[in-house]
Amino acid sequence: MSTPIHVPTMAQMIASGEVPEVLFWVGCSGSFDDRAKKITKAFANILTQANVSFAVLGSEEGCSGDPAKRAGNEFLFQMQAAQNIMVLNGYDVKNIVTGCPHCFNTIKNEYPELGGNYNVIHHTQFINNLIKDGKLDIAKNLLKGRK
Amino acid sequence: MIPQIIFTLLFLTGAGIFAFKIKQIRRNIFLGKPLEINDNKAKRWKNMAMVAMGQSKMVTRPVAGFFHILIYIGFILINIEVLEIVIDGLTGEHRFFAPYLGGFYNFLIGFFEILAVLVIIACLVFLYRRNISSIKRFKMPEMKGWPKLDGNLILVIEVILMGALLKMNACDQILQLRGADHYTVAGSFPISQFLVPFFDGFETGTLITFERIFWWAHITGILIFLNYVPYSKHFHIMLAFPNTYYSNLKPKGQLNNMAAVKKEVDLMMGGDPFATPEPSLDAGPPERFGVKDVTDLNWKNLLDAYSCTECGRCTDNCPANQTGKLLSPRKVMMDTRDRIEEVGKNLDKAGKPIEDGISLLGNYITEEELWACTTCNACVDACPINIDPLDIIMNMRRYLIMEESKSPDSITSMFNNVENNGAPWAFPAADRGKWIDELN
Repeated sequence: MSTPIHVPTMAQMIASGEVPEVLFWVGCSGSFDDRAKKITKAFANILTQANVSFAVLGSEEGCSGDPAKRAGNEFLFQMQAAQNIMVLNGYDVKNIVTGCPHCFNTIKNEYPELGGNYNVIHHTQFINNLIKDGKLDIAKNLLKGRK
Repeated sequence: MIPQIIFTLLFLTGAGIFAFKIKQIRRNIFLGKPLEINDNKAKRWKNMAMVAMGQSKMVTRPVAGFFHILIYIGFILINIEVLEIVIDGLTGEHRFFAPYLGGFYNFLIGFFEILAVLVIIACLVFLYRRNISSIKRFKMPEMKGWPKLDGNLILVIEVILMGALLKMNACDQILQLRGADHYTVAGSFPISQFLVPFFDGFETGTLITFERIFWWAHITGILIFLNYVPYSKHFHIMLAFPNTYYSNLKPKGQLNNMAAVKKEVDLMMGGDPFATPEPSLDAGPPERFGVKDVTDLNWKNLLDAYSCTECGRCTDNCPANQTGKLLSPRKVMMDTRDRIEEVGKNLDKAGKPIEDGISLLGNYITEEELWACTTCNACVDACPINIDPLDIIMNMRRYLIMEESKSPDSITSMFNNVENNGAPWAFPAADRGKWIDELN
């Protein structure tokens, strides 16, 4: 827990000539809802401690359009998708890890047909991979008996 | 010779009426919009083998699953005996297969008798579950009246048919022992032997009459049942197979992107925003966004509706229903079937499609039901034959929003927020990174 958490935006990264391994797609809940923000912060902390090169979109991130789509507003959904895909493709993003499960489904399953093709994984899968690869040092028995 | 002629006529009439009704239902299903499903055939056959033939999703509820499998196996195997009865009826023979199968025939007949008893037991269990025990999903509002009667009728008819089979065998074996003319010695009767004492006291002539009555009752019963099935929820015994074959292979969470909308968005985002599409002379009236009536649905949605056997697992698993909302996915499927039947009847009467001023959305399904759905897919997941009520619900919402601009206030404000500041809530995009400042 020693490394201070640093969360660069995609714009900052590109400006300094860096390309992050993975984009952390936070989602609206993770950005605005107090409880969900705890998850966002904890995940940013995990990424930092595991030395993952990552960035967020910050103010350039927009609602994936999922709530609009599921309420029947296909037009609004596709407008949101088009805007997000323009931003993501503009930064040439390849890998996305999502904080939000709804964004995960939408970006992974519904964006490809609209021109957005990325490797999308959920943050729980990402953490699991970090542990498996030995990049995240978890004290033995820490998770024992917990669900 | 006369019984053979009567039988042939009866059989042809039964099969003919059935074929006519099937043709009608096929036409009704294709009143739905075209949809091409011919990808991934290997996976589709596998789904059909596992889900429909293998009953893989039935057994997630062990009690219903177990007894359902008894009836399912009983139904399929006893059909072999029905085939013999039909051949006997047409040729005037008695137990036609016996000479060809030898000892195996005795085994088969014995096995069928055991199956028949198991089917009777399963039907009695199901009658108990439907009428006496307090299983909530059988007592919901959409199950009042005809659907309840329908469910009970099927079970009662099955008990009667199986009973006739056993009583027929009981009389038959007595006649075989007495060496009655025409009654060749064949078959083994592990169950019906216990019915022998009830019939043993009768004269041979009377017994022959009894045996014939049960024989005719069995086959006429089957022909009547055959023609009852397409009018009933019980039609799932046939449509479960194509329905699982054509079921959705994509991830459940993935909703389709409407192609018509994509065209509009592409025009706005990419090309010349002021460009108007080339006018086309052969273009008909613009297509409706979403679904208002059954003919806006695609044929797979309508196949789903005809395949539904109203078991209610969808509704039982629906979080909206569990929390007291009006929505019942089962009712959505039943409404869809009732409405397409109505549209089909109008078509038969008038000879051409007519506007009857009635629509699925509005007259059958209310907006309140549609807005209760969380699109969680629990209903789709629970369905033992992969019916998709969510697709119908989603497309009706699309109609409400994109054609009629009708949404509850909370949803309207969500739309406004997404449109104005890129989030479902009224927070400015500039504040998205605020959590970063709160770190460390």
